[in-house]
Amino acid sequence: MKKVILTALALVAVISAQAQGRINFSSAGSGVAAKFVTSGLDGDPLGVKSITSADATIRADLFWAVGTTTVGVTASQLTTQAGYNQAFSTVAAQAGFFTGGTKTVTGWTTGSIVAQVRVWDTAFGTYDVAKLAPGAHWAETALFVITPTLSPTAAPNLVGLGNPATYTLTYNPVVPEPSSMALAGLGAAALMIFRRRK
Amino acid sequence: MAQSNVYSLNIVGYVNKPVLTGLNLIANPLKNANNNVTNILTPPDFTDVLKWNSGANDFDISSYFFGAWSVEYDLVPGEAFFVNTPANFTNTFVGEVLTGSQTNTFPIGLSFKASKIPVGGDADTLGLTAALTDFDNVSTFDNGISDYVIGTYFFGSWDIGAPPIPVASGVLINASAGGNWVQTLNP
Repeated sequence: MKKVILTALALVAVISAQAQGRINFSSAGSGVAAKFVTSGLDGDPLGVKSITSADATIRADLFWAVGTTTVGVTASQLTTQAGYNQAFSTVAAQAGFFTGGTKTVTGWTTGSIVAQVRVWDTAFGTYDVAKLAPGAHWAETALFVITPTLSPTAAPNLVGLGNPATYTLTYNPVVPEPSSMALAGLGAAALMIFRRRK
Repeated sequence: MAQSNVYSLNIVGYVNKPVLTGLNLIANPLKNANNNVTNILTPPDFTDVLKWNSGANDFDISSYFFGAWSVEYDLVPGEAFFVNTPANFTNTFVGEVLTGSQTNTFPIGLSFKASKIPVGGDADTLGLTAALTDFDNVSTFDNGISDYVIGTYFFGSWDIGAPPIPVASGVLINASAGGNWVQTLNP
């Protein structure tokens, strides 16, 4: 009896180990050409450029939820973060793109998922934190449906990102704090007094 | 001025391989001093190559766009790989024909293999069947349906006939035991 149970458990373990859905986590490939750039607006220190590996803390990740359609689905419902932490291309000609290759969608069991790629400056922490943080860059793509596959079927491309498509990262401007403003005011006043006395 | 003739002891040539929109399971049939993907394939922009990584039991993917590959790796004769392309193209493989006895070793489990010599045929005529064990699978890939066509070898014959292996095409072997696919070409 014990042997039967152990065999059954081993079988379950094997099946679980094999049920690893995968995608090709790349913004470039057959049917997909999605570029990520900065706008240079709001005092963006990066100016107008395509993201590269030199922007080391700007990373891409996949957020997803089980589903077969994007209709009626909002980004806030995509609560599972894949954890790919994908850097952008090191090839100069391929600036603006990331090519992560085959990645496992941990937690996926079967069917389609509704997903979104989010790009942000991970130096500020999580995506939700960075989205509100002054000085942070962030972007999110349209929602799309994708069906992960099992090996040895080829991992599907993120065609829902668009072909071609350009996503511009938002830069959260750094607004001077009230205390900084007050200090600047005091400095100006001191300068005026100094000039009058002269 | 005296000039000595230069002779090559190797057979060199080229193979034109049509690659269709979508997934194609192909192989490099000719040996080069440098078999890296940049030297072997000249595809349209936004074409992917998926090379099997037996350690990870999954594919390593490289994408070609704007004149460069995202990852560089070798594609040597005898191993098959997927090309996923957005447009039809013909790839011209150029290089040296491997001659003599060529052994293509495959492991237990999954492996993507191809003929090491640039000859088309099927699993029987190319010598693959002789290396298999009962109930091994050899799958070709049908671009039209974008799926595998699985053949099973048992009790001395194939369930759906010997899988066809055109020149510069590959197969997926699912073997219950490792084996050596031996081919001989004597010019």
